[in-house]
This record gives sequence, structure tokens and C-alpha cells, in this order.
Amino acid sequence: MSATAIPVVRRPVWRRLIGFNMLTGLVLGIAGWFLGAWVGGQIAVGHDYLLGTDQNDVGAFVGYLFAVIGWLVGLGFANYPIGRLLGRPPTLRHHELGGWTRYFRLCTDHKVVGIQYLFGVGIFFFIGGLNAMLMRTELLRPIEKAWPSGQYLTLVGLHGTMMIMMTSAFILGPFGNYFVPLMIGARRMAFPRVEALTFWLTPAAGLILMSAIAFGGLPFGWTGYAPLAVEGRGGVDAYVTAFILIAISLTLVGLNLLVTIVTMRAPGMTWTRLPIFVWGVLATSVLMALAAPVLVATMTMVLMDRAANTSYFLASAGGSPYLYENLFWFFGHPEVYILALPGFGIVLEILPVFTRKPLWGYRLAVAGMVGVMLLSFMVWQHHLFVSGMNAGLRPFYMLTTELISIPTGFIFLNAMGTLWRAQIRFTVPMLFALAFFFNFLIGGLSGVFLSDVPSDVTTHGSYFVMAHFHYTIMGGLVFAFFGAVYYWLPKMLGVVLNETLAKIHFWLMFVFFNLTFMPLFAAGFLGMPRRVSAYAPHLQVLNDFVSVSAFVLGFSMLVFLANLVWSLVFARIPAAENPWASRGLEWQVPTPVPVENFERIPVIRSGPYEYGVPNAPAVADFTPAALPAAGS
Amino acid sequence: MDASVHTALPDGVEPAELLARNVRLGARVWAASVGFFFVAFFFAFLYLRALDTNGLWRGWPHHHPTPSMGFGVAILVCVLASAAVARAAAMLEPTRRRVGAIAALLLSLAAVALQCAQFSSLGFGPTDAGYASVFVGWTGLFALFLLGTAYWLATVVADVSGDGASPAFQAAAIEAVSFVLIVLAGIEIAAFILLYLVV
Ligand code: HEM
Ligand SMILES: [Cu+2]
Repeated sequence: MSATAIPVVRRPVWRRLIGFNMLTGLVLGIAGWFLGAWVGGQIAVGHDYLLGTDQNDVGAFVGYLFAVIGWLVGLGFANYPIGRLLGRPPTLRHHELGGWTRYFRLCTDHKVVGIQYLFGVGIFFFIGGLNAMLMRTELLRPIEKAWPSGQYLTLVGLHGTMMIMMTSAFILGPFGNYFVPLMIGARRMAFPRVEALTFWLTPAAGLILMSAIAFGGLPFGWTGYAPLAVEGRGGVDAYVTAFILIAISLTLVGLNLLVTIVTMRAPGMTWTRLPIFVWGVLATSVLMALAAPVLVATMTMVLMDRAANTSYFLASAGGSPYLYENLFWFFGHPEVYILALPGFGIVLEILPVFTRKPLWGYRLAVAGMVGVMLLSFMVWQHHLFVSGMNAGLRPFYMLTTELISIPTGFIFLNAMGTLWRAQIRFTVPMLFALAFFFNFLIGGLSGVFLSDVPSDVTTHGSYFVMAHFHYTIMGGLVFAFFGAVYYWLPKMLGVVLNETLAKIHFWLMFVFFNLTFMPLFAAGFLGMPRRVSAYAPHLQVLNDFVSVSAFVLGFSMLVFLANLVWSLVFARIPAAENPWASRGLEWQVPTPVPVENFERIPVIRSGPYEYGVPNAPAVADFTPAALPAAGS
Repeated sequence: MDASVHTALPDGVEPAELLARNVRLGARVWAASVGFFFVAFFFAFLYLRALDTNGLWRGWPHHHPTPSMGFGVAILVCVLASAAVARAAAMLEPTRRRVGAIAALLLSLAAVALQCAQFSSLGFGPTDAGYASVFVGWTGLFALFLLGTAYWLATVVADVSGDGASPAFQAAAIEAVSFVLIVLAGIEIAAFILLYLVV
């Protein structure tokens, strides 16, 4: 298991293309799709209940199944499980090659997986963003112009689903995988192979979702409500499969991080010394491990309704579309906190570094996160306030939803306490962290309006909701994501990002994000419904303003991209080991981080936020002489 | 829980206990995930049964799906026995673990085989409205999870037969898989009560 000496085998490029890698995965995946579609077709032949429809969902699903199997086999995921069956001993990792090709194959180094996630998820994020640009183009005119309404709806569905799928692991994928082991003093994640799997399922899901375009598109937004989910064209098969894959991936991400944080902490890394980001990851992991399986089950029911003609969601055959709404949101509401909690963790991690003060109210922050985590399972019916739910249940869900703003408020208290009388360094990560609080405040306050039944009755299904969740997801999570990017990329990629471009990116993004989504609250109040391509003519000025802002917002992403390419490919200014003078353990290791992370497992001596505390000991002892006593 | 197991070892060598703890805790989290997966079916059963949309919960008029009780009991017994045997094997001496693991594996596979046999002579199908949908989905997916757990058991058998895995890991692995089997057994009890007795 020793990985101190990694054999770097130099082979010609053509030789490196052969073997278990992404290319093989693609080839086998495509072959698998054709094979599966044919097999599925054979299975379906002769089942009379399929005769009435003009499409073969069995073929579609078996095709996707075989495609995924081919993809994973081609990447080499089958080798170890088969070897284990044949009695090979369990090993931790043996896929830690050097060189750039390791980014395109199964690699069990958590740092490689983190970078794979960063770029993989990033690409799909940009595709989702492109869809948003297309939608805003259509909305320049109140009448249908660029795309007929069906295609517009497909755009909405693809945009929403892609964004939700990809941003669910936006922070845990890249930064959780990369930094949690470093921050807790471990050499790896608990299950490195599972970790690799969670990443490689993600591009499969993204590609499969995009294939919906070829099979008739999507008749709904990201929520995929029944009965449309059962009746829709073949694109829905892609939606269902993609969501199942992502949900499996999220379950395993949660499981892996949870176990890692509990069992792999270095000696002295007590629960009260755990960095707050790791606490955020921990709370999110619990939600992922418990809520995502419900999504797998729900989507499997849709799959069965479509391919085997069960009737979970069809009222005409004893099912109920409300069952779908309940199950979906039983996953869906924890999901929104899967999106929010990692952001809380990031911003609270960043604040002390740039205020040079201890994090104010560490325990309060932990309580806030755990409180949000627990409550988030008890509020889902607020999405069904106007779906004809039992009126007697409304006050309960209204109350639980409003309760959630209390632990969320803790996070704001932590921030205010930390910022109080601080000498703030307005670096780019800090700017993003501060913007997070501004945006999330608006997102959170609008949420209180939505949780209030009387006001939700008038705003549900309108652009008010649209503005609300973009303020929380984009204004919250995505801003936190970029904060983390600017904060941690010097460690991950070993280069300095250009600061001027970064500031331009920040200010454009911050200003035009608000200019894009703030007016949508008004559009909602003025009665503009979601997911339609035509709207009342008097709303055109408002919409044109929003569209133009959205284009600039999209442009700000290109500034970021340009900065990344410039800094990474052309400028290549090596980053200092600890450019922010942070006390975080992850900053105390060399750049680039060695495969083994730490030469010896460090012994943690003090908490990560003791800035300006007189006589605070160094965070950790990196060369412990002897085996330390338990819990020292 | 203290983290002292993970002590300062010089190179890539890790204590076997760490692997063992990971697999044990991993099994518990996985079992919770599996539990929540079936919560969806539990909920679907109660919800659709209570709503009884268009009076179709129990199937189309004049055709009320009724799965055979014999198969139901047989599957239940196999699952419970598999969990019990695996648990016992986890508590046995290392030298006698092998027989227990093999027995648990065979019992799990038997349950899956019985489920397949039941499907082939069910007398109704997925298209027979509310109850039939839940029945087919729940039992079918349960068999799938059981099959996956059987794979895991097979690796345990391979481990105790060979000499690759450390004894600490072997012990932890069989304990872990038996924990998951116990949770599956609990789910199977719920399934039996709802799908065969309550209906
Ligand atoms: C450039 C930034 C963005 C713009 C201009 C934008 C614009 C839009 C528009 C126009 C819609 C359709 C509204 C409707 O007709 O109902 C929409 C829906 C949505 N967006 Fe965005 N969006 C952006 C970024 C994001 C991000 C970053 C996320 C998630 C992290 C996201 C998640 C969603 C979701 C979940 C929906 C709902 C889809 C549905 O109706 O099911 N968006 N967005
Ligand atoms: Cu909600």
C-alpha cells in the first residue's frame, strides 16, 4: 500500500490511449447504448401494453443502463469488484499514476478526484448557463419568437435539471473531496474507489440528460411532475436516468465524506477543533445520504410507470400524482439545503482568515447547521400549499418552515460577530463571502414570504419563486463556490489567479446578478408565471432589462474563464504555499500537495481560527516524534 | 469517538483497525440510505391505499391481485435466516466464520431465487393498478438490494477462504454485512406485513 514511490511509466501517447480510461469508457458506453436499446426492444416485443405508444421506453432505459455499464467498465470500475470475488485482498489504492493522464481515468487520489470534479462539474455548469442565455433571448419579446413553447420548456427543464444536478456537488465534489482529508489531517478518504465512482457517474448523468434533446425534449421544468413525467416523450427517460445516476452519486458522496470525517481525523482533531467548513460538509453529507435515496426511489417509480406500466402516479389506474409531489419534495427540500449548507461552511471558513479574528460563535454555527439539517426533513409540504393539500396541515408546515430561519439566522450572527471591529482584508474570496451574505439575506427573506401561506397563494408558480431560489442558489451557493475557487485554487492548481480580472469578475457578477434577479421579484408580483415563453406585453420593458443584465452576468463568467485559462496556461505564476497566511491545516502542506498529503500524520495542537489570540500554539505538530497517546 | 487509531505512522501503512472502522461505519450509513430508499415505498403503500383513487387500489374490478402466501413466507424466512446466520457468523471464532458466511450467502440467494419464481407465477402484473404497482416495485427492488448484499457476502467468503485480508478486516467486514442484512430483514418484515397481511 505504500505510495511513497510512485512509478511513473513513460509510454507513447497512442499506447496510453489503450487501456482503462475515459476514451475506452466512451467507446464501450456508446456500444452499450446500442446493444441495450436492441435488447430492450427485444424484451418489449410482444407486450401488448406497449403497442399503443409510439415509443419504446424499455429500449430507452436498457440502452441507458448498458451505456452506463459500458462507461464504468471502460473506466476500469469492474476490475476491483471482480478481483475481490476471486479472493484478491482489499487494497486501498493502486491507481495513483503521475502525469496528466490520471485526470482522464479512474484515479483514487482524493486530490485528483477533486480537480476532476472541479472541471467536470464546471463544464456542465457552463452548458446550463448557456441554456439560461437562450431562455433570456426568447424572453426579449412577449410573444414567441425564437423558440416555440415546447422547445422553450425543454430549455427550462434542461437548464434547471442540469444546474440542480451539477450544483448539488458543486462544493462537496471539488472542495470536499480535495480539502476535507487535508483539513482533518488524513491521507485519503475512507473509500477512495467509491470516491472515484461518484465523480465518474456525474459526466454520465450530464451527457444522458443532454440526450433528452434528441428524444423529444422535456415537457416540464426540473421538478418533473407527474402525470407529465409518465406521459411525456422519450426525453423524460433521459431525465429519469440522469437523476437516478446523480442521486446514487450524491448518496455515495455523503456516505464517503461522513465516514471520512468520523473515522479519519488526525489525533487531536477533536470535534470542537474541526474546521467549520468540515462541519458544513458533515451536515450536508447526512442530508445526501438520507435524502438522495428517496430521489432514486421516486425516479425508479417513474421509470416503472413508463417502462412497465405500473401506476404509482396515474390516477386513472389507481395511482396519484400527489404521491409524486410528496416524494419529490421529501427529497427536494433537503436538497435545497444540500445546496445551501456547504456555502455556509465556505463563507464562515473564509471570514476569519480575512478578518484576522477567531470565528465568532463556533458552537452556534455548528448548532445552526445541525438545526437546519434536522428541520429540513420536516418542511417539504410547503411546496404543496396550493396543490390541494389538506388545509389543516398548512399551519404546521408554515411553522416548521419559518422555524428554519432561526438556525439559518445563526450563520448571519456568526458573520456579524466575526466582522465586528475587524480589520477586513478585501481580497477576492472575501468579497465573494460578503456578497454571499447580501444575496442570501434577500433569498432568505423572500423565502419567509413563500412559507407564509396567504402570500404563497399569490406568488406560487410566479417569477417571485424564480427570483427567490436564484437568490439562494446562485446568489448563495454559486457565490460561495467562487469564493472557494479564489481562496483554494492557488493550493489546488499551484498558480496565482490574476487579481484584476478576478475583481472585474466579482463586480460584474455581483452587480448584474442583482440587476438580473431583483426585478424578477417585481415580475412575479405583477403576475408573470414561470416556464412560459410568452408573457403580458406590458412586462416587456422589465424583461428586456433583465435579459440584458443576464447577458452581462453570463459575460462575467467568461471573464472568469479567461482568467483561469490565462493564469493556468499562459502566466503560470507559482502560488505561495500559504498566500493568505491562514491557520488552516490544508495550507500548511507544500504546493503541489504530495500524494501522501502528510509525511507523518500530524498531531493537532489547537483550533484553526485562533487568529490574534496571544500565545496560540501552532495548529499542528507535523513531525511528531513518537506515537502520540490517544486523543492527545 | 476518538481518532487515536489513526496514529502517526511514517509511510503509507495504515492500521488495519482503520479499515475495519471504516467498513463498519460505512455499513451503518449505507443501511440508513437503504432504509430511506424503502421509506419511499412504505409511504407509497400507505398513501395510495388511503387515497384509493377511483377505487382502484385493489386492482381493476373483478381482478384483485393476491400474491401467493407460500412464496411470501418462504422469502421472509430466507431473509431472516440469512441475517441471523450472518450475525452469528460475525460472532463466531474466525475459523468457523466460513461456514456461516457461506450459509448466509446461500440463504440470500435462495430468497432472490424464490422472488423470481414468485414473479413468474404471480397471477397478476405491474399493470394491475395501485397495490400491484407497489407490490411489484417493492419486492423487485428488494430482491435487487439483496442480490447486491449477496455479492458483498461473496467477497467476505472469498476473504475468509484466502489469506489476503487481515483478520481484523475480515471480522469487521462480516459484522458490517450482517448489520446491513439485519436492516434488510427489518424492511422485509415491514414488506411482508403490508404487502401480504394488510394489503
Ligand atoms: C446566468 C444565470 C442564470 C440565469 C439568467 C437564469 C435564468 C433562468 C430562467 C429564465 C429560468 C426559467 C424560468 C421559467 O420560465 O420558469 C430559470 C429556471 C431555473 N434556474 Fe436559472 N438562471 C441562472 C442561473 C442558475 C443557477 C446558477 C441555478 C442553480 C444553481 C439555476 C437553477 C434554476 C432552476 C432550478 C430553475 C427552475 C427550472 C424549473 O422551472 O424547473 N439557475 N433560470
Ligand atoms: Cu422547500
